This record gives sequence, C-alpha cells and structure tokens, in this order.
Amino acid sequence: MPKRLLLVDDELELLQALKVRLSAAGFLCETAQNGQVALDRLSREPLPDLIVLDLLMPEVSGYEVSRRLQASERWSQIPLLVLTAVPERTLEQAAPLWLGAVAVLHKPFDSSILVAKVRQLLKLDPTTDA
Amino acid sequence: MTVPVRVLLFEDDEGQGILARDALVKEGFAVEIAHTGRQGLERLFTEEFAVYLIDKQLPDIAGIEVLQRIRTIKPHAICIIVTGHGDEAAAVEAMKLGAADYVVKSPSMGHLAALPIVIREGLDRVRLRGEREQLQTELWEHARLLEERNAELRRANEELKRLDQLKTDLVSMVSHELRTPLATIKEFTAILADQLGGPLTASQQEFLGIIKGNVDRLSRIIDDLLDMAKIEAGRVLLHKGFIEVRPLVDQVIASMRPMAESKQVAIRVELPPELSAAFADGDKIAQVLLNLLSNAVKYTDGPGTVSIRVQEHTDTVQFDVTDTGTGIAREDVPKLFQKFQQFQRLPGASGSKGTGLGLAISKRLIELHGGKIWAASEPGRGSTFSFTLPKYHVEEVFREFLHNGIERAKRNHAPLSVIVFSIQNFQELKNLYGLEDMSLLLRDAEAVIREAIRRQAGDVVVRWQRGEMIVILAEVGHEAAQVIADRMLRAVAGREFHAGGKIVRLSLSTGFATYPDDAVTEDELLAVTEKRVQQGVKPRTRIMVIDDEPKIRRFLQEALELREYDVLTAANGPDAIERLKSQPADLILLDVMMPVLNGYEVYHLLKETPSTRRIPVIMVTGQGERKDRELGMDGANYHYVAKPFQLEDLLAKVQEVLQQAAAGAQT
Repeated sequence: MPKRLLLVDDELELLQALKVRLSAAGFLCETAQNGQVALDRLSREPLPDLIVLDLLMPEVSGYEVSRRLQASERWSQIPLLVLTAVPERTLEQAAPLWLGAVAVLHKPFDSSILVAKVRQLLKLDPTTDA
Repeated sequence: MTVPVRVLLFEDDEGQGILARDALVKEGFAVEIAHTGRQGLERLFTEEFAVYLIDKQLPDIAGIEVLQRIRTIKPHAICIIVTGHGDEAAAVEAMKLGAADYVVKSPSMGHLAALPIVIREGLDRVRLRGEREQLQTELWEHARLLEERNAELRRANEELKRLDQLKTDLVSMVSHELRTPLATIKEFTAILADQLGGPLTASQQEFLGIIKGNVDRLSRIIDDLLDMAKIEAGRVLLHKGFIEVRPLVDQVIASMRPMAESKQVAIRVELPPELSAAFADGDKIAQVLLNLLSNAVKYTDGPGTVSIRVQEHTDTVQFDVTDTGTGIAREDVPKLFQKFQQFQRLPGASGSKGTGLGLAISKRLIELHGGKIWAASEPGRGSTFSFTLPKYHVEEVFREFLHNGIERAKRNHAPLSVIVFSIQNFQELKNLYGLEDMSLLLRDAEAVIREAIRRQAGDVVVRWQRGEMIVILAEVGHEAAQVIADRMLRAVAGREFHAGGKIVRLSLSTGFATYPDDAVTEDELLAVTEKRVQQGVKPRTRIMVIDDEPKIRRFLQEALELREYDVLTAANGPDAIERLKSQPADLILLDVMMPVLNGYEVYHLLKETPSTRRIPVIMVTGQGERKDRELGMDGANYHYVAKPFQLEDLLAKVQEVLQQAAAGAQT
C-alpha cells in the first residue's frame, strides 16, 4: 500500500514539481495550495501519512497549520516536514510556532534529500520503493 | 598717515568751542563744532563722526536729550558729556543713558588737556568692546555651526542605521523572494535531468547540468549575501564551545574530497599530534575553513596538492591552507578580503566563479573570534591563506558557559547552580611539588569530580592557577546543589592523590550559589560562590577505629561522630590497612587486645605500610599493659589511653594528638 502524502504550498509550480518528484518516488500525493485547503482536507479520511508544509502562505499560514496540527490528538501524530525559504535566523525566532515539525528543508533544496527525508520520516527502507 | 578721527563738538559758547577744538586738533583729531543741539543733530544724517562731545548745557535741546537722540540714531557712537563743575550727578545719569564717559569743565580750562585722553580711552573701549563682541559673535557662530553639524551627523547616522536596517531587511526579503522561484527552477531541472519528463539526449543532459550548476551558484550567492548582511548588521552571534580541531578539519576535508579527486588534487593534512581544544564557534570556523579549502581546490589544476596545516603558538592556533595553484597577482593580494572582489586568478585557473563574498565573510567571522586572516601568494607557484584563533582563556570560557547557562535557565524558568571546588593548600603544594605534578593532580581530581557529577549535565571549568574547579549545573536547585557539593567533597576527600611520588593531603573547600535563589546575575552569582568557598566547609577530620569488638567499635563511632569526626572502622589490622589505602585517615585509634594480630603487631604493620606510615596512632591499652621494651615498642612514637577510660579523656587525647600532628605538618 503506497504511503499518502499531503503537499501544501502556495507556489503552484513548486507544488507541481513536488508532486511529480514524490509520485515518481512511489508516493500517493495530494496537494493543497494554502493552509485552509490543507486543514479542510485533513477533516476527511483517510489521513495522510506525512505532510510536507510550506511556512509562508497567505491567509492560513504554515505556522497556523502547524499549530492546529499540534493541538489535535489525531493530527499531531502525522509527521511534519517543513519547507521554507525563510532565513534561518527568522526561523529560529519563530521556532515555538512550528515545534511540531520533525524536519526542516530550506529552499532551494536538493530533491534527492527531500525524497530521503520523506522516506526517513516514514521509516521506509531507503533502498526500496515506497 | 591715518585718517584723523572726526569729532563733533556740541558747544554753544564760541570761545570755549574754539579752545576745545584747538586742544583736540593739536592731538590729531578733526573737529567740527555745532552751536546748537539741532544744528549738530542735522549733521548726523549727512556726515560720519566717531566721537560726539556734548556740552550738557545747550540753548535749544538739553545735552542729555541730544545724547539720547544720537544713541537712537547711531547706537555705536561714542558720546562724551561735558558738564559744569559740581554737576557730577548729571554725568552719572548720562553714563546710564549710554555716554561713554564724561568730562567736568574746570574754570581754569584744565579739562581741555583731559579731552583727548578721554576721547582716546573711549575709542579704545569701543574698539575693545567691538573686538570682544566680534569674538563672541564668532564663538556663537562656531557653536551654532557645530550644533548644526552635530545635528546633521546625527541625522546622517540615523539615516545610515535606517538604511543599514533596510538593507538587511531587504536582503533578507529579497533572498526569500529569490529562493522561492529558485526552488521551482531547481526542482524542475532535477526532474528533467532524472528523465521523469521523458528521455533526454546526451547534449540535453549536458545543458541541464549547466543550468543546475548555475542555479546552485545563484543559491550560494544568496546565502553569502544574507550572511554578509547579517554580519554587517551585527546580527551574527557566536556560539562558542570547546571544539576539537582534528574532527573539524576531517569533516571539512571530507566534504571537499569528491571535487578534489575529480580534479586530481591531493589534500594533505599536517596536524600536531597533541592539539588542545579550541574555544570557538565550530560551525563558523568550519565555514571559514571550507571557504579557504574550496578556493584552494577550485584554483588548483591537477595534478596538484592542497594542504591544511595547523600549528599551536603561545597565544594562538594558526591554520594555513596552501595550494599549488596559479597564484594571485601581487597587486590583487591586498584586495582579496574586500567585498565583491572577484578573484583575479592568474591565467590557467579553471573552475566556477565564486560569489565574491566568501573571503570577506571569512574575514569578518575570524575577526569576530578575535583572530586574524591573511594571504600570501607567489604567482605561478600557489597561495597560502592563513588565519589564527586566539587560544582560550579559562575565564572567558567560564564566563561564556555561565552566561549561556543563565540565559538558558531564564528561558526555561529553571534553576542553575555554580559549585566551586577549591584546593585551598594548592599554592603551598605547588611550591612544594611544582606546577607539572600539580597539574597532573588537578587532572586526576577533575576526573573524580566529573565522575561524581556524572548524572548531571554540567560544564566543568578548571582554573589551574588557583587550584579550583568550577562546575556549572543546569536545572540543579539549591538543595540538589548542596547534595552534589557534598558528594564531590567526599569523592575527592576519599581519594589518594600523588605528587612527587608522595601521597598528598588536599585541604578542600566547596561553595555554591544557585540561580535564582542566591543571585540572578553572573557577577553576583560568582561573588556569592567565592564568599562561600572562602568561608569554606572544612573537610572533617577522619578517624579510623580498629577494634575486634563490634560493640566498642559502634560505641566509639557514635561518640566520635557526635563530635563531628568522620569515622572509619575495621575489625582487624589488615582490613584497616586495606581501607586506609582508598580512604586516608588523620588518626588511628588502635585496640591492643585483638586476636590474630594484636595492637602492637598492627602498629608495626601500619608503620611499615607507606600509605599509613604518617598517620598518628593512639593505642587503647588495658591497665598496666604498657611494656614497650618487651613488645618492641621501645622508642616508638605513639600515644595511648588506658582502659577503662572516661570518654572525655579519650576525646581530649584525640584532640591533642590531632593538634600535634597539625603543628608537626606545618614545620
């Protein structure tokens, strides 16, 4: 059974790239173009096995999504991989807001590292298909 | 010749007027006479006079009135009032109204001689006043200009600060805005290159490789720009700690190895076998080292060699990165560490371009550490880039630890304790055994202390010079600190330390202070600790009781412990000696009547064993048992208490012997 990923980013083209890359790696990818869409999607079954989340998004930001995930017993179980173009220092200051994240990748990232991180968070054998 | 000073004389009496004029003309003045007030005042508008000599009694207008009108029209005019004899009061009033001076007519005409003098004085006064006013005006002007200049500078400074902030914000924002599309470009390039979008021809793959290389370069430039902006805005804080140089160098080399190998550039390392840990921000130093090493590899065409050498000097650790590349033109060497100075490597160099910021960033980072960075190059033979880091000072390290500790404690609302552990006789021992032995001893003591606090996360700092160890324990409150301090004291007190091949007795003391109970600032916390160390918790005197009778052992132990002695017990001599090896005592109470080895035999054994030889012994004998000669105790230096004894007598004896021993140790 392939693992389900929810990809959240307001940059539609990057979102598309993420979907192509992670689908090719064998994951079942759903996309959300902002925080609200992501939260709406999470109210439905089946829940994703992992969420890839951009931080800076208009209206409902990644910070807010992260906070809501942490507050929910069910959602807080889902591993969270944060993508960000925010400079590190600013990120440190905002750290308490996204403490729920288990990994952070800085844009622009290496796609091989992205795939490896996702596999690692899902505790998948790095050599086999998802 | 100077132009004569013009005087207008107001005088109705023609004879007096002529006399006065003649007196003045003789002295070089040019004099005109007005016979009435009106006549004189009219001339005011058509002619210039320096001095007005006004008779108080004029037929039409009073002299005082004339004075006032002149002063109104020509505020700076010098007016001198000539009054009649006995009318000084009027003269004084005239002065109040602005007359420069007055002359009193004398019937003998003697005042005529005074006129030129008074006029000259008046002129001088006016000139001086003018000069003074001029000076004052200039001064005010200067002050005003200065103030203006200051205000301008302040404005400029604020503007600069604002611009600087703006620049940092801008760089930070721009870097974010740039990274986002870059991420998309990079991702799609990778998708194409990995042929997820369909198969590619060889040249298409090559072109994609070029795109990828430039995307990477662009992202490096953005990183560097952001770094530089942060450094320039003073926003880079160093997170200093002890760093091991060797693993750091290895790690940097490992990340450069693939590129070096592909260019057939060998990387050589020269590290001294023993290298003390550096106190620096490991990430930042790795960044600098990586920058230098990657430059060296980049600008060296294989086959070639890049070497990293680390040397320890008295006050610094020096890192050199040397390449066998093409070198840098002599005139470019001084410009290397400036911003946006693209390396003008000599012809023959290959490899991708840098960002023009790497070395400028490295320079700033090294300078933040208090070190220096420089380069030397020989065109055609290669370059060496070097930097130094100052060796750490214990105090600096300690302060850094404490500072960070307190900051963390504040953030986490957790306590923190500082425990100082001091060897109070360190100075004496150092004089006796030398620094080298003592530093070995301290190292041993440090190991014991680290062992004693092993369950707590703590920073241990050793102040070699003072024979002190400081332990900073996070999340340890007042009571826990007390327990740990005691544990440390016991652990060290219970251990044998050697110096100069001898067992050394350490006189120990501890003190501690807890944040936030005792103090909330670093300085106060230290002050409290120091004070407590000096008051010192004197280590207890330890007494070994050797008796085969358990009841007596327990009785003596309880009695002695009530008097604040530390008590060890043993049922026989060999056991006692074994225990004394790990826990030295200050005094031994030895029962004579024991099976297997009696007290005298044990006594000899104690005196033959190096670790117990010096401990004073009190023998507890039965009545009339003291037969030294028969027992081989002749001349032996021991004390005794005869059974049955009063407890008080025994305790008095114990005290007496300890005092003697202490006195003996001091001579």
